[in-house]
Amino acid sequence: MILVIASRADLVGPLLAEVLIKKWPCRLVIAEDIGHHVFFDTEGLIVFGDKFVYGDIKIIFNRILNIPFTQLGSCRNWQNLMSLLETGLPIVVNRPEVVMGNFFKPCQMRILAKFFHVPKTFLASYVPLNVKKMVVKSISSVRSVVGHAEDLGVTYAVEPVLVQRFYAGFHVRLHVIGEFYTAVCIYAKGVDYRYCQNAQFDFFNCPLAVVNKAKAFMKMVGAVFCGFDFIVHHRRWICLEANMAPGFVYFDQQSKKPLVMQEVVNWVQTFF
Amino acid sequence: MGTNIFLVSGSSYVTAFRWHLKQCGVHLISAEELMSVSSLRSLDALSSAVLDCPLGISNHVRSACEQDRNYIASSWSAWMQSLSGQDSWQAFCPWLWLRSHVIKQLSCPVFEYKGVKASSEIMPFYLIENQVRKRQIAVRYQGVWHGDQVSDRLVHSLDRLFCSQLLTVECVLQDGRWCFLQTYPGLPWGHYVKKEDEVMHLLANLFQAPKANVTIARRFRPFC
Repeated sequence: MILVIASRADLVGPLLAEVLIKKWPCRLVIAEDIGHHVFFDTEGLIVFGDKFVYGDIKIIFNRILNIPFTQLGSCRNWQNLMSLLETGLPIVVNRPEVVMGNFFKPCQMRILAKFFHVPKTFLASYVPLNVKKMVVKSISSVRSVVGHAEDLGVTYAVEPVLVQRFYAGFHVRLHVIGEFYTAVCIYAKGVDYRYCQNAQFDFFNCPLAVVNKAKAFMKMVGAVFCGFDFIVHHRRWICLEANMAPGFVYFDQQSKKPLVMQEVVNWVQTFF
Repeated sequence: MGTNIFLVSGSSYVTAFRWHLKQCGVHLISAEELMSVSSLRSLDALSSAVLDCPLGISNHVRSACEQDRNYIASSWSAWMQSLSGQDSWQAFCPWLWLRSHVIKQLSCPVFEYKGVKASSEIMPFYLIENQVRKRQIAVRYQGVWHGDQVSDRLVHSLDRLFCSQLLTVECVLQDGRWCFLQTYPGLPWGHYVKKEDEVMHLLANLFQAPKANVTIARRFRPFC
């Protein structure tokens, strides 16, 4: 059995469950139902009255992006779930501790730098942002528009922000799950392709050397599934970020091919 | 003496020990003071910064920021992580410090609640009868353990599980044997409230020891 646990706001979890349920026993659990309609005890879980033992679960896809810290202190179901995800089952995509890497980009950059070229980065707070050829982005997992400070109208940073050297080039998004991988290249006029109307997404044959470095990074942090953002600048691969809870459906929709979903299915197939 | 350590602490008890820390050459930045630090770049240039009870800092920032709470809180949390210089973010994962979660991974006697209640499941917490039970406290700083001699098996298990720069483990005497009570990424300030005289010995050992002689290099500690 496969379990997909997702926050209600997550778009990926339901689509993933919809695909997997056609091939294997699969159940979608919405995180906000935990403690109300979904219960985790020490032996198994109850989902809207249906009981499952943990021993029957082969894979858990963890799409919980916001952990309710206050509930964690008092709700036994949340405590059991987090323990289950961290150490209770052998295959969790990805474990909560790994997903936390999204929250600490500077720390993640230090690890990425062991495997890839990364942009020169510094942290800023309480400083004017008038540097040219730099981009400004959020330091944490909270989504922000990435761009030149002057284009964003940001002249002063109070909270900590990441300021990085700007590289011109085309973007590559690489998804790796286990031994499977696929990539798309993205051509866009703006710095942040997510907010460019005419961005073009196409399948890209990613060099094996890059894929192998990505796998080495994943092994180091304990990730099973990861989405890497690169800029290819004069044939030089600059790694911008690694996403431990990748929103891969967006890239499949933009490229109009279920490239990543197919690789996820291929990977799951190896366990059945 | 003469060290230049900045202790960034989320403990609600720590301000009572500012003078003691100063005596050991440690500058305290409490959670209340964090948001008024004028420039991050000047802090980046510090010789070293140590995180103490980071979950308390996160909670403080989260409760202090009225506007756009999540973004501000996560920004400061992420910055603190970068400041610590550690290659792990586990100190900020509260579920890893749940007593129920830690116990599952330890193979040692565990303190059982008999007529006492913990203040919380998330570390740190203190038993109501904290002051009367016999207690062992050991603190790991930069890979080296100080304080009471707790069991080797427990120490090895904790070294395998956690890589925080500061780590405290507490054991309580129950039915004639030492039992694991709790562990958390920080110093046991709550234990030393009203016992300030006892804290100097621990702090002096932690922050004034010649680290070059006693610290095990990270590359020789693959699980730590």
